[in-house]
Amino acid sequence: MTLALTGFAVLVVLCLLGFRVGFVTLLVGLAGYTIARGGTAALTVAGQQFVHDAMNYNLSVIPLFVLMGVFIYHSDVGSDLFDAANRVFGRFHGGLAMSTVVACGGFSAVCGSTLATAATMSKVAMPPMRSYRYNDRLAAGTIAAGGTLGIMIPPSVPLVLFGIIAEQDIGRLFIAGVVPGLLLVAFFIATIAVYVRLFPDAVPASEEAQTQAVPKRAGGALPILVLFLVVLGGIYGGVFTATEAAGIGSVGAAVIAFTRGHMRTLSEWKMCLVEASVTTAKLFMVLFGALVFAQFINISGLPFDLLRFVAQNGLPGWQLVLLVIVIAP
Amino acid sequence: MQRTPRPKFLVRLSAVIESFCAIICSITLFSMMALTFVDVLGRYVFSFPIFGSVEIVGILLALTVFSGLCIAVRHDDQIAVELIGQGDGQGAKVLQYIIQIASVVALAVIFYVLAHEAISDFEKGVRLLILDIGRGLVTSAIAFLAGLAFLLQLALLLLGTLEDDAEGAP
Repeated sequence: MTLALTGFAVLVVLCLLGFRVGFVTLLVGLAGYTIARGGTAALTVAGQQFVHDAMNYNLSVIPLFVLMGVFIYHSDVGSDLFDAANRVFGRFHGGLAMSTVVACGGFSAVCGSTLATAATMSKVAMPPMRSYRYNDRLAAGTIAAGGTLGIMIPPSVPLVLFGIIAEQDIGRLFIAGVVPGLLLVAFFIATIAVYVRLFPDAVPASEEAQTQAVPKRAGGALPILVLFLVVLGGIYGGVFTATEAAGIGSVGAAVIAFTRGHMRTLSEWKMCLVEASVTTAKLFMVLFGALVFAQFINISGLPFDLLRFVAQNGLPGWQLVLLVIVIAP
Repeated sequence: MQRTPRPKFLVRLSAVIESFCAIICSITLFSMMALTFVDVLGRYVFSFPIFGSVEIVGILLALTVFSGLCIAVRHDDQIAVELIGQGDGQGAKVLQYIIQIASVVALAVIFYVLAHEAISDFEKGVRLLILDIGRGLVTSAIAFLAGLAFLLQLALLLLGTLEDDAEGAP
């Protein structure tokens, strides 16, 4: 147990110092495994793990969902989502900020990337909020918070990674993310409503001005909704697996981008495919490292020690959840 | 990292490697997307799934990951948490150098274990179950790509950056 905890501590410190997460996780995992079982065993396990995972059909869900997100990012559909949301929320005080949150949720539903969601909404929502003199703190905070919806709302790439590492059903994880994701959207909107009441100067624009702040182009929201329903409905209905859904989703996203005037040249295709491949490679380095590190943790006996600790102390469910929350970061 | 005078041929070579890997990953990822889509259509619409599609996608995935890795390495573009190790002081420079060394070691390990697996596959005659082709062909290809990534990371360590002044991240 001491070895595993030392490994964890070293890993956290090195990650905070800026070491590449995937590489340093791999090195710490290998070092721990070497101390426990010897260098030859460690390298053999790592080699088998790499080849097995690199050629694992189930893991192809990662590049395909990433590709879907890249196509959506380059399809410029974020502006239509923002316009559609603004039609509903623009009439409220702080409506542009509320519309941003809803658009972030909608974009996350087909993108799966926090970074892409935040980047898109920065381009789409920040200019109208600035032009109507929204407080920068509110505007930037709204986009930053809305961007995090990508983690929760399916198809979420972090959920896919979690499902693979924890050996959980990705389809069920996606379904589990829907309600918390919608709750987050509702809470963010409620927070904005409270904020603009507490700090009225943060939103000087009149309600009427906000609804007119952006042009009426909500047409792109419908294909996004259809794509989301096909991908998630297909998984939930048992029509296809998460990998197949990702394949269909990426083709659907490419079609959406094409119909919106993008993805019409070879260079655009190459740019998107390379971008998705590089993101995939970076995610796989973290995945490889995590899986080797998990092997080290397993042979260190830490999981059994934790199990024994929980069983001996008879922790009720809520205390166990609290413990996981404390340990997880 | 400190910018030192860079041999132009190394920068050009790294650009050629990137172009080569960009072509590979574009083809493999597009094929993966198309194959998965066509396979689903074939299975549900025509009751005719593509033979060996699972293994083909597995091969394409491996090639996508390791060709993408070369591009990521060339642009020093990896997932990292940079909270403490930032700044322009001497300490930060030393830390960045140590981080690059760790990356070189990690990629050397990845290259070594993959090369070892490839040799082992050829020696044992390991074959893919459905396609019935030697797995060593795939493992040697990804070991080669991992080797390129290792060399790029080593060059990055020695030169500080592999990008031309006109270039940006992908």
